[in-house]
Amino acid sequence: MADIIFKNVSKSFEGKQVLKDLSFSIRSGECFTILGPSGCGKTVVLRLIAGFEIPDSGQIIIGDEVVADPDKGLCKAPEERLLGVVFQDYAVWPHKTVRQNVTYPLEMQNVPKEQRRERSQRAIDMVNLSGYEDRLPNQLSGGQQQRVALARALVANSDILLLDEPLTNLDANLREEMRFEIKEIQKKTNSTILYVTHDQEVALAISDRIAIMTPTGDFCQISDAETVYEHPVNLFGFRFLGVANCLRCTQKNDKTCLAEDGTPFVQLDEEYAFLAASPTFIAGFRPMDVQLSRTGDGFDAVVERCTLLGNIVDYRIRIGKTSFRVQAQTEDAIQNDIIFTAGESCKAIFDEMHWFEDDHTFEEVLV
Amino acid sequence: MNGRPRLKKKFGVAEIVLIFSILILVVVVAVPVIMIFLTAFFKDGHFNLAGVIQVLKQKDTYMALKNSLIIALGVTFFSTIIGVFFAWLLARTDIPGKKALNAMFMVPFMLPSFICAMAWKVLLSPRSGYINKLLMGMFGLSHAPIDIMSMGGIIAIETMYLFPFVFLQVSGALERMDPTLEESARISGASLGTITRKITLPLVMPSIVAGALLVCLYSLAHFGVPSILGTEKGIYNIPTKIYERIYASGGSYEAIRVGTILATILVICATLILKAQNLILKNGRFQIIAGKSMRPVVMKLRGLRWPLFFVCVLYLLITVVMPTVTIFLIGGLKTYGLSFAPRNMTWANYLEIFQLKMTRNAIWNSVYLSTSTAFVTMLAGMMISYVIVKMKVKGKFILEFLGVLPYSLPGTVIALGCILTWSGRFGINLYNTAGIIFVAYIARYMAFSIKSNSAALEQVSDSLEEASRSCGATHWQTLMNIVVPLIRPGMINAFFLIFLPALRELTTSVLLYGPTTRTIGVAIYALNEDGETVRAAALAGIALIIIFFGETVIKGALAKFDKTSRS
Repeated sequence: MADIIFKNVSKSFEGKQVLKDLSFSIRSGECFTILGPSGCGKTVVLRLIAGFEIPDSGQIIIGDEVVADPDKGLCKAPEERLLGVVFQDYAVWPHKTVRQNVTYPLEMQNVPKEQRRERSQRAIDMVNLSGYEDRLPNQLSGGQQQRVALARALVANSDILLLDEPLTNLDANLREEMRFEIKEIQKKTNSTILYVTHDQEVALAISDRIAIMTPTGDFCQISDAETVYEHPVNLFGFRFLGVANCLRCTQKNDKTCLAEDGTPFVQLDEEYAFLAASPTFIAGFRPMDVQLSRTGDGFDAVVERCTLLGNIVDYRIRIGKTSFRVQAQTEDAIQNDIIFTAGESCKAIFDEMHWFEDDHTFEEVLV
Repeated sequence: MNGRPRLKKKFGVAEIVLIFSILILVVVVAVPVIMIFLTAFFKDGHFNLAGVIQVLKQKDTYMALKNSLIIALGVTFFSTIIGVFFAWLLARTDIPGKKALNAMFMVPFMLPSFICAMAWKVLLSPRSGYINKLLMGMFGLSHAPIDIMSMGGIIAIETMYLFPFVFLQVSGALERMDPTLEESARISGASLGTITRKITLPLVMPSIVAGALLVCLYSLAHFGVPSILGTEKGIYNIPTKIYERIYASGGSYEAIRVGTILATILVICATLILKAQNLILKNGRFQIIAGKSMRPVVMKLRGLRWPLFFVCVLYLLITVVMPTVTIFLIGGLKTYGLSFAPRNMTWANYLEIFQLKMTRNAIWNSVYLSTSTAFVTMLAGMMISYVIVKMKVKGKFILEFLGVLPYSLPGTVIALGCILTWSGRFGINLYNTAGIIFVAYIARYMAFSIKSNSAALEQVSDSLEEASRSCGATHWQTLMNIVVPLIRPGMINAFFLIFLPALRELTTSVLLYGPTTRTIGVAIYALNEDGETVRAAALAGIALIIIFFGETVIKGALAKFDKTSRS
C-alpha cells in the first residue's frame, strides 16, 4: 500500500503563498500527473512528498504513516522516506560512473553486497543502458543520463516514484520514446508514480489520472485523461490542454452572437443556459473541430491565411470581425478541395463547442 | 535545501560541524575585530574620542598616514599603467612568444615583495648599492645616482610586484570580451586605434578599476617593502609605524592602543575601497562577457613587434631575474660587500641555514604553520561556504558578513586583534606561541578559502544533493559522498591560495612571533635588520626555492592527480 494523501496542506515561501489548504490523494499503483503552467507550485507538491520541503500546516500521509505534520512537530527526513525521485536536471552525479550512480541507493540502504550488483544490473537493463555501466555521465547523451536517473530511482524498489519534468530537457523524438518506457516500467514494477509536468501531451499519454493545477496553486480538476481533455471544467483547463480558440460571446434576444460585433454564432447549448444570464461568456473549440467547405451549410467566413504545415493545414478564419484558428488533415483538405488562398470566402461548421464562464483566465497568456 | 531546520531534529555530525565552523568564524574573526574597535575607542570603559584625535594629531602618526596614502596612490597609478599596457600587449597584439610571456608575467606574483626589496636595497642603496657603485665608477659621480630608500623607491618596488593584480584582471577581461563588439565597430569603419580607445578601453574599464583597487588595498596595508626600504630613513607607513611603536615599547598596552587606532583607519580605508569595487563591478559587468572565448582582433605591431618583445623581456629581466639572481649571489658571498667573483663565493651559507637552530626552526615553523593553517582553513571555509551557499537558515547574513570581513582586514590589523584577543584576556594565552600565529593566519586567509569554496559549491546544483538524500543517504553521507568529491578542485585551490602566501607571510607574523616561533619571513627580516645580509639572502634563496617548488611541482602534480582520479 502506498497511497499518498494531502490533508489541507499549505506552504508559502518568503511570504508568498504557494499552496493553500490543498487536499487530494494519489492511489496506490496509479500514475498520477500534476499538470500546470510553470511557477504554479506543482514541483512544490513533489518536494513536499519527497521531504525536501516542510509544509507550513496540514498533513502528508504516505502509506499508513504520517510523514509530515507540523502541528505535531513531525517531519520525516527525505532519506527515511525511501522514495525514488527523478529530477528535471537529472541530478546524475558527474563523478560516479553509471553503475556507481545506480548502486548508490543500495549502498546507502545497506543492501548486502552480493545483491547490489545483481539489482543494479537489473535496473540498468530495465532502462536499456546495458553496456554503458562504466561510463561517466559526461560520456552520455541527455537521454541516457535521464535513464541513469530513472534506473537510480528504480533500483531500490521504492513503492513510489516521483518524476519532476523528467522529459523536458530531451528532444522531441526521445521524449516520445521515453514516455512509453516510463509507462512500461510502471507496468513492470507496479509502483505508484507522481509525474509533474507542464507538457499536456506527456500527461495525456501516460497518466491514469491528471490533476490540473491553476496558477493560484489549486487543483481545478482531477480526472482521467479522456475526461480532462473532453470535459474540461473551466476555461483554464481547456486552454491548457491544447491549442484552443476562445471567442467571447453574448446572448441577444435568445440568440448567441459574438461579443465583438454582434455577428450571429453557434447557439448556446441548453445545458449551459445559465450562462446566458451573464453579460458575456466564452465559446471554446479546438482548431481541429471546425469543418470548412467551399459551399453548403455553415457560417459565412473569410479565409485570412492558409498554411501547409506538413501533415496538417493551418488556417486563420474570420467570422464578422473575429478571427480564429482552424486545422485540417492535409489529406482531407486536398480531398475536400479546401486549400484556399487568402481572401477567399468559405463556410464553417463547428463540430464540438465548449461553453465557459467569462473569467479572468481569458486574458492570461498561457505558457 | 537540505539544511532547512528540520522539525524533528536529529543532532547529527553535520550539525556539530556546522556549529563548530560558525564558532571558528566568530572566535577567529569577529572577536579580534571587535577588540580592536573597543580598544581604539574606549579607555577605562569610557568612550574616548579625544584620545583618538590626540593620537592622530601626533606628527609621526599623521605622517605615517600620509605616507601610506601617497604610497598606495602611487603604486596604484603605476601598477595600472604597467598592468594594462602588458595585458593589452599580450592579449591584443601579435607579439611573439605570447604563451611564455604570459607565464613569465605571473612570476612577480610568486616572488615575496620583501625579499625583492632586500635585493633592490643591495643593488641600489645610496651608500653601498652594487649598481650605484658601478654607475659612480663608470661616470665618476660623487654621489649615488639612484636612491631606492625613498618614497619613490618604495613605490617603484611595490609596483613591480603588485601590477599582476591589474594584469590578471585586464587580460582576463580582454580574453572574455565578445569580439563582435569590436568587429561591429570595425565594420562601421573605425580604425583599430579608435576601437581601442572608444570600444575596448571603456569595456574593460571595470576590470581595470577592480584590479587597481586591489592593488590599492594591498599596498595601503603593506609592511614588507616600506619596512626594508623606509624604516632606516625614517619613512613609515601605517603598518610599519604600528610595528615600530609596539616594538619600541616592548609591546606595551599604550602602544597597542595607538596601533588599534591606526588599524581602525586602515580598516575604514579598506572598507571604502572594497565598497567602491563592489559598486563598480555591479555597474560595470555589462555585455562584455557575452561572447564565448573566440579569437579577438589582433593588432599588427609590424616594425614594433620585436622591439616591444624586447621591452617585455627587459622588464622581466629587471624585475624578476635580477633580484632573484642577486639574492642567490648574495647568499653565496663569504662576506657582505665583496664582489661577485668566484673566489668570494661559498656554499657554506646555504648549508649553515640548515645547521643554525634559528633558521632551521623558522623553516620548520613556516612549513608546518602554513600547512596546518591551509588545511584547517580549507575545511572550515568549506563548511562556512556550505552554509552560505546551500543552506537556508536564519542569520546566515552574519556568516556572509563575517566571511568577507577578513578581506578588508590588513594583516597588521589581524595581528593586533589577535594580540588583544589571545593574550589571556579570555582565559587563553597564546602570546609568544605558534598558536597565535596559527589563529592569525586562519583569520587572515579565511576569505580566500570561502571565496574558492563558494565558487565551487555554486557549481553543485541542489538537486545533486537532494537526489542523494532521496536515495537514503543522510546529510553527512551526502556531504562526504557527493559534495566533497565534486568541490575537491575548489578545496585544493583554496589550500594553495592559503599555503603559498602563508609560507612567506611577514606582515602578520612580524607582530606575533616569539623567541622560538619565527617564521621564514620573520627570520629573513630579522637577519636583515641585524645586518646579517648574507644569511638573510641565503635563507631568502631557500625560501624562493621552497615557494617555487610549492607553486609548480606540488600544484601541478595535484592537478594531474585530480584529473586522473576523475576520468
